[in-house]
Parts: sequence; C-alpha cells; structure tokens
Amino acid sequence: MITRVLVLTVFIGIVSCQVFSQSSVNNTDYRDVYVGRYLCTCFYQGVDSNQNKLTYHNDTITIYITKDPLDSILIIDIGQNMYQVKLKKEIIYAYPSGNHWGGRLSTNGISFGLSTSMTTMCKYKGKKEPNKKTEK
Amino acid sequence: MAKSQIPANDPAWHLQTGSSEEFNSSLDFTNKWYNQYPFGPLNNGAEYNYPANLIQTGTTLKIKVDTLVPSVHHSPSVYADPDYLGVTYVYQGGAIWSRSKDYHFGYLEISARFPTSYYPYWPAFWLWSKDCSAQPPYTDEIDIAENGAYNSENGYMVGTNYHLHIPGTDCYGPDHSTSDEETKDVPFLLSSGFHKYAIGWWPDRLIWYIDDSPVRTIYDPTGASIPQHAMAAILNFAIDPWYAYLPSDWNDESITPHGNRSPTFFPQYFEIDYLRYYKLDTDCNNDITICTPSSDYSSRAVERSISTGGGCSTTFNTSDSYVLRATDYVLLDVGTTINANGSGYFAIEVAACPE
Repeated sequence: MITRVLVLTVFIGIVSCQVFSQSSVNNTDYRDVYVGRYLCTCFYQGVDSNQNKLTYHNDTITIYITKDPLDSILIIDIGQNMYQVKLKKEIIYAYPSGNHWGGRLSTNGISFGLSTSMTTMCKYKGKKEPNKKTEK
Repeated sequence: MAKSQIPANDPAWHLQTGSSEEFNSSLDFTNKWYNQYPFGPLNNGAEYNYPANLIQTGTTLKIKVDTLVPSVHHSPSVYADPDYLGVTYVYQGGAIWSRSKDYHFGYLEISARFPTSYYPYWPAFWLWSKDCSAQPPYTDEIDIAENGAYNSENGYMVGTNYHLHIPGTDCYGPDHSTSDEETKDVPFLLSSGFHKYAIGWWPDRLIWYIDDSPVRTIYDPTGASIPQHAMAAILNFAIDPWYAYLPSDWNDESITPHGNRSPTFFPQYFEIDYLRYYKLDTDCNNDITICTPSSDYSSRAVERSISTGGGCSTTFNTSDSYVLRATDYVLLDVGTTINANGSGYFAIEVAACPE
C-alpha cells in the first residue's frame, strides 16, 4: 500500500512538473530582458555647415527597446528613427535587412553604431535603466 | 507602352552641361570638383580617402577601394570618445564632390556599375547640403543610389534614402535628421554592367528611377518633407564601418560581424560612365492657351496653367512626345483631339514649379 502511494505521488509529481515546465516555456519571451530604457552617450561625428571640417561632440540620449509585433524581433527606437533587429548571441542583426548600423545588446547595456546619414554617425553606449516603465 | 516623362523620352529637358560630366576628359579638380571630401580624407566610413583612388580611364571614372598598407593611425579619436586614443585605418577609398551646389530640382542621372558580393562595400551617388545658421537650419540629403552592407552583398538591391532636419533639434545633435531608407530589388546583378540610377526632384516630390523606370515616389504637396535647397553632388566608394573587419583599436562592440570575411575582396571599383543633370524651362507665372501644338521642344516650359481646345481646334499627335506641364492645372476643353498615330506619347504633369 505504501509502495502504491509512493508511485502515485511520484507520478503526480512528474505530471505537475511537466505542466509547470510547459507553462513556463510558453510564457518566456527572450526579448523581455532587453525591453526598457537605456540612457546612452552618443559619440557624434558630423560635417559642419561650411563642409570644411568634421565636428565631434558628445550627447546624452535615451534609446528605447521595445518588442515588435513580429515574433522575436526587437525595435531600437532612437528619436524619430526606429530599427527592427534580431539578436543572436547578443549581436544585433538588422531585420529583415539594413545598412550602416550594427552593434551589441546585453541584459545590462547597449553598444550601437549608426551612420545617421552620409555625413554623420553616432556611437551609442549606455546602460539599461532599472525600475523604469518601458513606455515612452 | 508606358513611358516616363524623363529626359530619355522627352527632349523638353535640357542638359546642364556645366553641371554634368561624361568622364571623357580629365576632371577639373580646380573649379568643378573636389578630389576628395572637402573636409579632408575622412568621413563616416572605415576608409581613408585618397585622390589616387580616382582612376580616369578616358571613358569612365573608377573609384577604387583597397586595403591600406601601411595603415594610417588617426588621432584624436574620430568618435569624441574619451576612452579612445584614435583608430587605425586599414582600408582606402575615394570621392568626388562638386565645388558648387549646382543641383536644385530637375533630373539627375548616372550610368554606373556597382560592386557586389561583399558586405562592407559602400558606394554611393548622393546630394547634400547643410546650413546650421539658416533660419530654420537645414540638413538636406538625397541618396539616389546608396549601396551598403546587405545591398552590396546581395547584389540585386539598390538603396534609396533621403534626410531632412528635424525641426527644433540641435543641428549637430545625434537625432537631428530623419531617415527613410527603402531598398529596391532589381532584375540584374549590379556589377554585371552599366545601369542608370536617377532622381526626379520637384519641390513637392521625389521620384527614384532605375533604367528609366520609376521605383519609388515621395509626394508632399506642402513640400515640408521634400528637400528644398540647392545641393552638391557626390560620388564615393567607402567601407561600411559597422560591418567591416577592423583593427582592435576600433574596439568595437558597435560592429556586427558577418562571418569570416577576410579582406580578400580588394581592390574593387565603383565605375561611373556619366553624370547628367537636366532641367526644365520654367514660366510658372503665366497662363497659356495652346491652339496649334508646336514641335519646337525648346519652347516648352512649365506654365502656371495650360488650356487647349475651347475656341481652337487643338490636335496632339503621338508622332510627337508631348508633355503639358503646369503648376496649377491643365484644361483640355472641347475641341481637343489626341491622335494615337505614332510611337511617341501625350502626357499631363501637374507639379510645383521646379525653380
């Protein structure tokens, strides 16, 4: 009798674990840990109005990472420009394709390079802000 | 057969010879072109630019990119990043940049062979102008054919883009400029031969053309989202820094690696057969009535309004190629006849005055 109870208990335990495990998988989205607000420094290079020299300076800018409606795609939102990306081993790949930008995104920071036009570029580096709402 | 109202099909366009280039003779680097960027050998690519990479064959201009041996160290940092002590350039490229901002509306076209099959190739044909002291400040750019990274590797795609200043932002700030890139598929390998890449630019619209066919249109009757200022023309061949293999001092987590792509794809060339700039005559304050269409193309201009028929019997024959262009309206009144009796065409175009 004791043996039957033990077997039944183990069986119920296994079923419970399987149910819990499946539920966890279904609710996990790899993107969740990246979604948020990143306070960044932009190391900027551009051409001056007289087109006779390059100018350099630093700016502080907020980048927002949000989830795209498409499965597994993230959006990097910088000012009025947005970039669809897919992460592989924390490396940013343009989705479905893109030019003139790239970088890395980890759970605690972003390093993102972008040629904003043919004469300007910015390297964004920043950390994710904790305990902030992700909405703009 | 549909035909675009472009210079290839419409002699009313006038070639601006002073702002065009056939590349049949030595380029005028004293008065017409800079032989590199006017601000020096560096721009936002991963290449160091040299005039020696502008190769004039007698019929074409070939802009070369290559590895750079020995490399060139540039300091202070190109990124204004205090953690950097400068970077080492291991690639070289080239650019020509018009000394005058001669390009202001009209039709601008190159015939060119673009390089393909390698991610970091970044050749481009573009227009640019910026004035941060103007009120309001502006940064205008039209990228007529800009192929970086994915486009260059793929070989069957052409990048189009344009940029405008975002009102209220710092003219030199990181987010001062809009960007609206679209990639267009083409049915040929870009490096397989010469093809035409062009922009039709009006105050209220931009139309990109590839081999005489429109591939993208931006229309804004207010003109607010269309570049409005005269610009310089640029042809260059760069290395896309976000995809290239670079020395360790670029330190770069901002770069997306794309497989094991050793620099065995050099030298490479962006070859241009010609650059041609066309404009239409304008007469935008006049209203005209056409009774007897003239076959004299030189008399055709953009008018405020054009009326036909009415008290006249006006006949257009498609043995001619006739475009009625007006800023406000074109009225085909009773008495107007269009005879489909030739291989030409008849068209109406109502657009803002391109002057």
